[in-house]
Amino acid sequence: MSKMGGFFGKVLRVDLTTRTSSVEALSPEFCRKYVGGALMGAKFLYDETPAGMDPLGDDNKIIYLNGPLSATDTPCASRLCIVTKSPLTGTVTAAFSGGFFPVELKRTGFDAVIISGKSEKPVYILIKDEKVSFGDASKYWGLNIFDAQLYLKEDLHDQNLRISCIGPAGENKSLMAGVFNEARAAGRKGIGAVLGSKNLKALVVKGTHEVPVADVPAFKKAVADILKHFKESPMVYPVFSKVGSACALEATNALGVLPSHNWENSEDVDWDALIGPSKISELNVTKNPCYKCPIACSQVRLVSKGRYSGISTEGPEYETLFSLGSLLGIKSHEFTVVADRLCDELGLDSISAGATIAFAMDLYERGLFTETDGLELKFGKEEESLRFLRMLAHREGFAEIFADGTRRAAKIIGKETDKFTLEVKGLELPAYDVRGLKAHGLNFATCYTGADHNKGYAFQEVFGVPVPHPVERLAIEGKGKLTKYNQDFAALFDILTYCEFPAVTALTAVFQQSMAAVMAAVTGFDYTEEEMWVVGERLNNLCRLYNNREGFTRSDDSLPEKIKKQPLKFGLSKGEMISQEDLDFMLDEYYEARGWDKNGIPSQGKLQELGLA
Amino acid sequence: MVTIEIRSLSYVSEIFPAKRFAYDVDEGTDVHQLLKKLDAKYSLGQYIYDEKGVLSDNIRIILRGLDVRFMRPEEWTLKESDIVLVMPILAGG
Repeated sequence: MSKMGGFFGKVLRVDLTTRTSSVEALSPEFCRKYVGGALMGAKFLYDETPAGMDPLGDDNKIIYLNGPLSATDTPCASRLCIVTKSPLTGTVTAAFSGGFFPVELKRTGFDAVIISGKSEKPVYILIKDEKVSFGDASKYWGLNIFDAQLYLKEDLHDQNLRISCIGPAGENKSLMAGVFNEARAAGRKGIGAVLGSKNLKALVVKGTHEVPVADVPAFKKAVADILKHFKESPMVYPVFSKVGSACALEATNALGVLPSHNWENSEDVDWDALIGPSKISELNVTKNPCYKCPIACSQVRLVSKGRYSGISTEGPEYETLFSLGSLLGIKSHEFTVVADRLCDELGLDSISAGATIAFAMDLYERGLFTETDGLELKFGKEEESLRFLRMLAHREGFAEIFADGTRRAAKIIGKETDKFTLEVKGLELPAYDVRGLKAHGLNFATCYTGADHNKGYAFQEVFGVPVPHPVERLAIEGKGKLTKYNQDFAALFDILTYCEFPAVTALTAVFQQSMAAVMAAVTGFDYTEEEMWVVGERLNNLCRLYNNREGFTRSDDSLPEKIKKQPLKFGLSKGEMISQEDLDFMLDEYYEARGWDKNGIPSQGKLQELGLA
Repeated sequence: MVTIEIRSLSYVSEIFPAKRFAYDVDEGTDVHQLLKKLDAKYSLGQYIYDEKGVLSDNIRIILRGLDVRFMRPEEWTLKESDIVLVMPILAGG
């Protein structure tokens, strides 16, 4: 290898307690093995933080990372990864966002920024290449995420700065607070509360370093091959570019696996006609692509008539059409635009926020929680939902009970209300009724950070992608092996900080091969397709080790009661559920495929094989 | 005569009169015979058959909630009010 590309070989450490920073070198061996993104972040967190620490305490760290492809000409590689211990789930977690911040962060010349300690007062960190400074964030505390970015740029006299920040939800340490850059959310698992606990309002970056590429001709060829796959895909440009992730709703609605009314699915409704991709795309006004993305899935939408006229948002994505649409029994596509915008402003994870409101509505209608300060929390109520979102972010009134998500709310309320929560390890379920998608359900049960759809997406079941082979979505047998495949597949894009969407649409059959080619060209390491699979598997095992150390066991790899005991009522998945017996069968198969014992503990042999022993 | 409902998604739905429509077939017709009829009437074949003329891996035909690829032949026969979903590979999420 003539020179190492892709990496700068440096990590920046920032201590908020002492307001100091230092730079450490990363060895080429470390870079090759831990690559970047979720894997490098999990390695730092595992090695540097004590077991059992309070996620909102001084010991926890916030780790910002990219992968080696960021800020190169690789299409769709502008992704930010933030790793920390989640205060919502108690697990290691990694959250992601796109946009332009990720590239600017990489150009500061660091492969990772590790933030530790706690500031006494609100603070922002400014990184301009190697220069690190701290600023008083008192005047930005309380601002929404758009205003915070606007005023920081104004005050620092530089419109080209890129900013990652929290809104009121993060400041108030709501466990459904995200971290936002531009209008992009690294939304889930309560990572915004970790920034809030450190009094860290924002990370502001500007960089001028070019990312070195080891073999430019090979890199150009690898990129051309990726773009060729994009062009040949029947989905990427013809559909995905036009409507974005919303197109998933057509599939889930058709299969009867789009959850509604807090997963009661109590009405046989054609949600596709009400809030589906065709309907929501009527509001499209422009697009806002990430850096070097030719797909440009992110749609900017504007309501131009009626009660919400004049309100725009970047989104809503598919997940928000569910969480602030069907899940609340709200049939207005225009409302989802407004609620999406409000979640962004407040710095809320729109999935957990919507799921928590749906849970509260379910309890209200059952008469199990009615002390709502006069707020009529019935399904379908729009104004009440918007009010509740604001209350959640500010921990206002009765919303204090719900501001940390459904698991904690059920514990406070009691009355066996945990029967009506839909969460795994504390993380609210995303937009897939896994009673009709068995491998997707097994991923929710076993994913290292709770019910996260992106970390083991069963694209075979939801979308019919025949990779590695066609799959019957309702079958139980074979789903353990398939889930291992899907999680290790997804781990790679989380490690490389590559966008999931092209990975599971245009590149599905060749993803590891394509990434090996571009990674070898960029870094100069002789990465192979096989090694790409190994690094993915390494992430899932390292995270398992972290969670085992925190006390997680097989009993935590579970599914909510409604999924296990309440069959679906309508549509093409009518009668389906995942019983405990089915889950146990799939878990046994999954653990065996992973080389873990019956309790979900990785074997020494497996750890040695992955270089983790 | 048996009346079923044909449903389709995304770009495949553009060849049909609607995303959901009722369709009559003779009693005893199975799902593969139905697909041949739909091919003859709407040129569906370009979306569902591969170059060898067999059902492509890039399409799912869902009958009573199940992918016909995994159903036994005796389950293929269409019944009154059956829903047949023609589902190309999609994406999103």
